Amino acid sequence: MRAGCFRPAHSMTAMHPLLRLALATCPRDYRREYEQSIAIDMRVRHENVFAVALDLICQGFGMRVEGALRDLSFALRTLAKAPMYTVVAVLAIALAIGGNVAVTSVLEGVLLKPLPYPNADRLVHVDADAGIGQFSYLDARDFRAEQTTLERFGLIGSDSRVLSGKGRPVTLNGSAVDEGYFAVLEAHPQIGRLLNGADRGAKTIVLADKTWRTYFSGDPRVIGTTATLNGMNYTIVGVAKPGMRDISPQGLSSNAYWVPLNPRGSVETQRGYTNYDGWALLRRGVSVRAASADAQRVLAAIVHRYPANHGTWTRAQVSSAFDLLVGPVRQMLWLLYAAVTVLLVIACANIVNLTLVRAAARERELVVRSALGASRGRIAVQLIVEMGVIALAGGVLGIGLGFAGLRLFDAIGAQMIPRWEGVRVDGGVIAYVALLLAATSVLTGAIPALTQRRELVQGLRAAGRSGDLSGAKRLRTGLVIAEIALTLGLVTSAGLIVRSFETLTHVNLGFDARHLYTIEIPSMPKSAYPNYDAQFDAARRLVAAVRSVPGVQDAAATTIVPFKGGFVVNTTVPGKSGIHEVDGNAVAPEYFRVMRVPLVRGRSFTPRDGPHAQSVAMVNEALARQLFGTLDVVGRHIRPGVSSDNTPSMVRTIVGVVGNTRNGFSQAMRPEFYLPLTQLQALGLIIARTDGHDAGFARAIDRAYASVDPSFPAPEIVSYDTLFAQDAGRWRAAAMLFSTLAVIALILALAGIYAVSAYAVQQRTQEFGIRKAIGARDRAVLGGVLLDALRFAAAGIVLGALLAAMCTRYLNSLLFETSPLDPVTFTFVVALIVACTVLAALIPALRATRIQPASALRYE
Amino acid sequence: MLRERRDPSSVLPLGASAFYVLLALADGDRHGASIAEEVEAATDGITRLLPGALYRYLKQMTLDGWIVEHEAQDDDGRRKYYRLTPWGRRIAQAEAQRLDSVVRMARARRLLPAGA
Repeated sequence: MRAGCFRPAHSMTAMHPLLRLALATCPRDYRREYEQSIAIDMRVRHENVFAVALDLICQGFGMRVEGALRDLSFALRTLAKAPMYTVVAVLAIALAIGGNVAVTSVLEGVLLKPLPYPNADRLVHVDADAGIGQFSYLDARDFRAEQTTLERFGLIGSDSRVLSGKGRPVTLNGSAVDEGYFAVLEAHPQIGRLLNGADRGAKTIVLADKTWRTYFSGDPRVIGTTATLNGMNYTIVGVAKPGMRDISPQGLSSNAYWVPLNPRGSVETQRGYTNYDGWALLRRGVSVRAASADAQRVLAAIVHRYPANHGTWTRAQVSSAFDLLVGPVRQMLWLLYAAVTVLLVIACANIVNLTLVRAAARERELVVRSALGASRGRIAVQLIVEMGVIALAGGVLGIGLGFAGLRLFDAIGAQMIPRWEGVRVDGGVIAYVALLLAATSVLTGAIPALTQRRELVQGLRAAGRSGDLSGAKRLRTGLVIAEIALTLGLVTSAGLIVRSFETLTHVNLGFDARHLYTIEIPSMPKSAYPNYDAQFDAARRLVAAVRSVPGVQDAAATTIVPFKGGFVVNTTVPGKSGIHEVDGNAVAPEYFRVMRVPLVRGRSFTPRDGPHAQSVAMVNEALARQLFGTLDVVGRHIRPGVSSDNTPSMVRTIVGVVGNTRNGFSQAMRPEFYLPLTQLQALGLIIARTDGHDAGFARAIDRAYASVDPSFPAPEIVSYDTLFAQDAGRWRAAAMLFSTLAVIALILALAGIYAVSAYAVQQRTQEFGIRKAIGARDRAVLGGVLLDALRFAAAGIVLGALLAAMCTRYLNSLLFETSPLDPVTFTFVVALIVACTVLAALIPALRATRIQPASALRYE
Repeated sequence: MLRERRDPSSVLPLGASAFYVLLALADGDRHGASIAEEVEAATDGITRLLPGALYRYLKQMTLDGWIVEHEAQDDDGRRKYYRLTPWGRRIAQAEAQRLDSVVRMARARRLLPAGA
């Protein structure tokens, strides 16, 4: 309606600045249409400027709200008319957002939050000997006095005692600590006091809040009374605060109690008894590196002074507590974060693609609307509003999925990820995800809208004739190629990780773990079992009782078993130089029979290998080969440096050679020797194999223990399934998580390929009709469509394979004996993507074969 | 443009201001200020339409096809004039009839003097 001639000068009527300002709050089209009229009216009507301005602002706001509601309801109606599109788009967003919610929560809880201690940033672990790592009490005492970089230094060692006199005796897991430990963590008591220097070697105890509430009914008068642990009375001096968390290199934990470590005890005074973790606060301004150098200097001096106890010492190391705890999972979590980000990109590409395909189908609607006067801006806004609705629905669903996913993963997560207890979906995570959603909806809405703007002009020119527009087509094909490439990358990563997990859990362990259980032997009070003979006799009766439990096939006593840790012992061969770090174990004669470890040479232990008989040992093949270079070592001698009170290090004669066993899925077969239990005078566990009918097993074992001595607490029973799950936890979790993400990506890629193929078929209806009319066979049409799909899939596959080849090396911490370029995995994944492409394109292809020649004419 | 022949009662009842705008246009084309003046005069100054609200009504009515606008020159320059469409007139008639029946009901209940 623009006048093509000169306007009279007074037609551009001046307006009061206040009105101009008020008008600026109104929607643009209103402003453009009526500014002039309002100006003229104001001149002739002499209204109150303030009243008019206020009215304009109110009307402007009203119109904007009205407009937004109209856009929203229009978007809802449009989406309701395309349910397939809407459902696929919402699900795509929901899956991607669900993944992001879950992974971001884990990332935040584990990697981004500081440890729950006041000076967490200065908290460090002091590794007395890198690799083995723990302090002996005397080394720690010297270290504390000589170091210069630490403000506070404390020791903690694991400790486990039987609490009696409070109902059925129960085993509690606590810690032996020195007075520095609480100072390092800056822990405080809720009642009484914590341990201090005066407690060293005393029979005092601090209870954890839970222990206090469970066994002492939360009574504050408990301070000053005694608790009976292992038959001895300990004076309760305090109760720790409820949130008190103990720290260990494996993670944070909640101990049941703390007792002072006992330097007057005979074992603790040996420099070889390295049982304490050193934790410290750095002095302000001191770097971890400087502290490490200082620790190295001090410990080197200690080692120099006492060479006998530090034969294999390598170096000391100080590391940040945070890095130590989260280090093992840091890379995996960032990789997961990368994976879910890629997933979100795939989902977005998918939605943009679906939107473009739908926009092309809606082209005439949009062209008509624009011809009817809807501005391009309005159409763009409409598309963004539609996307916003999808993003909102997908986001809400996704956050729900994230919650559910985390809960589903709780059991495994708690086992394999340190600090898991701090993982939750909190406001920060929701805010982050909301930001992602906003960005997603603007991007995915704007891209089609922008191409729409360009196309509208062409669309009008083409007067609604069907036919694809090259720019949008390139964008669509490009997006699917990108989607396929990213999916291939993700699926390949998942494939490699799953393959690693398979390889890992199928390594030869050297023993038969089916229906195998470890059952703890209780610590026996000196009052009832004064010496080792009495204790060993009780253990023998326990083994007999376990054997008599229905379903138990066999049982034997031992000190330790594979997958439950082990003892590293410096060992020498008499007459040869060199100290060897080998594993050591002490076992009953039946141990190898129960574990099904084959005897390779010589004989197994017998009951005659007692404390007064010849000192003997058995070794595994790895030890025989590594120390002697042959398996024929029966009759030869080793000297294990076992330092224990009552057995001085002595030369032992090898009587047998057994097969190697692994102490963990990812560990090598290490050299190991075995001693007769009675010659080392040690006890630890009973190993039992059942026939697989394990219902009520724990209760039956408990009864068997009580039949030997009612004062024995219910033993801890752990199956090898559990031990395996713990050992392979990180790999299992990685395999599960990455496969889940890969499957989601694959589904999204399928939808993307389907959309583009379906659209191509629709666009070529006429062509197919004509081809059918001139005698083309169904098979040729079908093949043509599939071939087209495979052509762009091929581009995606090549790109994706290159991408994967470049990126999979970053997976190394999650791979086990699997090359990042494993050809089997790559081949499999490529085949999978090809199969998916064919599958996704098959429905449109079949539709193409059903096109009747006549329909091609009708279609136009 | 083809318009669906809807029943005008589907948009009733009208807001008072909207009805006054239609009434003002019933006896001929008017521009915005003239509509406002007419409404104010007809209601003894009780209903005052400020420009913001007035043009919001006019815009919506134009979009809905109740009125059409055209430009014409007058003493104050080129300005927009509004005219009732047949559809707009039917709506105004329907609203008037509705109000008439309301008034008759009020009379029957003796809320108004008969035949005043």
